[in-house]
Amino acid sequence: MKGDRHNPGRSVADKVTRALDEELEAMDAATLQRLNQAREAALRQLRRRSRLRWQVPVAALATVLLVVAVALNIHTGDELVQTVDLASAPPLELLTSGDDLELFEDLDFYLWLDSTHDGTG
Amino acid sequence: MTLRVIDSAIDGIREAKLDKESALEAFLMEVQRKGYQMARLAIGDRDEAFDLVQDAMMKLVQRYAGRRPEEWRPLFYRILNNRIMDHHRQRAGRGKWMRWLRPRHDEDGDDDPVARVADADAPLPEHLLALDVAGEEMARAVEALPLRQKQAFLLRAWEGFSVSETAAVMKCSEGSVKTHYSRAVHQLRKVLEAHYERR
Repeated sequence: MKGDRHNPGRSVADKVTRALDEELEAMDAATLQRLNQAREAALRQLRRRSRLRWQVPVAALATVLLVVAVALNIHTGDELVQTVDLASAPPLELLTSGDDLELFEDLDFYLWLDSTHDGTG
Repeated sequence: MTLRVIDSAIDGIREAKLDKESALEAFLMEVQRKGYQMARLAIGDRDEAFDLVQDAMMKLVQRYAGRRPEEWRPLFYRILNNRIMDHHRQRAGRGKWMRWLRPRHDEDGDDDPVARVADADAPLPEHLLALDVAGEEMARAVEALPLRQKQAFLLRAWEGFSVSETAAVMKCSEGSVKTHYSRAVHQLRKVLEAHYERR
């Protein structure tokens, strides 16, 4: 009370605020429930916005990854087409040996030559 | 490796977000009742007071959740007080039409703020310091104060804002806050005196 005597205005304020605090403590359950629901609604809004904030960069990252994946896939696809062409090509020895290649290219000629030599020989 | 770094960074951010959300929830839990009571004392209607507090909470979360926690309190009360002022302006606008429709003798002249100013230098009698006044009666006394006095008193005395913080919340000068507060205190002193005389 010493402080009250030195600052009478403060003591009036203290008295009133103490009384208001008591009122606050005695707040009815229905009002408290409404306030809790309002608080929850506000926080739900925050969570929704937080999710949206996460979703935008994640979606952007996913798009970039998708574009990269598609680009890589196209490149790999070209290589596959090439592999298929090679598989249907002549045996590797024929392609790497110059003589054999000539033999392969002029196969008809050599077959005719063989038959001619057989007929003449 | 890179993915692991990104994952841990995301976890860190998520934890920080959860911390912020928890802090915001704790803050709203702390101010919701007092905010509601202030709004109720300022406008005198439970449902409308509830709407104003809900609005203030929503706006704080919408616009200022990212601000530093120590800024939330003045921001919340600033929003709430803006809402209260808007409410009074709307009511005054409606009242103007109602007054125009009603006969003039309904006006009692009680709105004159000068008429409500009590003697600022009167000392508080010792017996009033020991006097217990019912909370309801004190709440009614606060409710009966003019709006700006009520705001200044509740923000300064009840919420514990400094003069400059109160001025920022009320969008007025520090001098105005001091004047409103002083008048409010002297008006409330009168109520205490009247209560004492009735005992």
